[in-house]
Amino acid sequence: MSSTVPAEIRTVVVVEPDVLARMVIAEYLRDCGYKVIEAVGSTEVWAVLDGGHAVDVLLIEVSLPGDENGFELAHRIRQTRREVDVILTSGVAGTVQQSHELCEEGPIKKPYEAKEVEARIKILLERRRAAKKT
Amino acid sequence: MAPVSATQETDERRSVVLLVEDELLLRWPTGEYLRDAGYRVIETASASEAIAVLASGTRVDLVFSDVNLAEAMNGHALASWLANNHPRIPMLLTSADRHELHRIIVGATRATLSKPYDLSAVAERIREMLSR
Repeated sequence: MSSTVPAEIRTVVVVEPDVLARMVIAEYLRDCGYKVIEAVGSTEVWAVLDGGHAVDVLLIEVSLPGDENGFELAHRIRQTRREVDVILTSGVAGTVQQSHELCEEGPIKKPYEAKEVEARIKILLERRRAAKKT
Repeated sequence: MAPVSATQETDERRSVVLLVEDELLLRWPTGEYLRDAGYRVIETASASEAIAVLASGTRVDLVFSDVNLAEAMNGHALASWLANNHPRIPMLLTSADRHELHRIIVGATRATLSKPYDLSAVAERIREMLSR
């Protein structure tokens, strides 16, 4: 587990239809000091974003149920919510190149280590913080 | 009765609530409130997700579920499954439909709460049920 608590509480939305994977990563990120919202698909993500809730990072599984898959969701967020960072996760080989075009730091291959995800989130938040200062 | 050890007290403070609610904008604040009240909360959006968690061997001390769930399996069916597979785990069921709540047979391990609910009332009811 990370020993560094974020300087201010940041909100991460975990978009993951596999409940056991979601449960583990959500609890890990909460223990690291993040506020975590758990979503099972894109409809729930838009309910959060359209409801005006502040979100810093979206961790999105590529394979999502419903009309909008993870790529499409990431694409829409890139177009309409530039203030939100996106990390894609995938257990499917071959999605890597497409993921690179849609997320800030490249995709995270499953099975992932929770600390790897947290490190990636921290990099993105640091980058935002640095950009604000300049 | 044997004295309660510090470890057991810690475990008791972090009782695990399995929350089953298909509306994220209700599931999320309920989960956050119960975490602030000292519980470990596992959020699930359907009965099938709840069963996946229970079947994984994850410790669960109480199930708090909506009756009306989006998928085919509703809270009644989940209550039956729980009674058959984990009869000792208490279950609190909630619904905005009073007729649905009246269909539920309450007992030593099962209680109901009408919607809309105050989050403080949920926490209080859960505390009561876990102290039985």
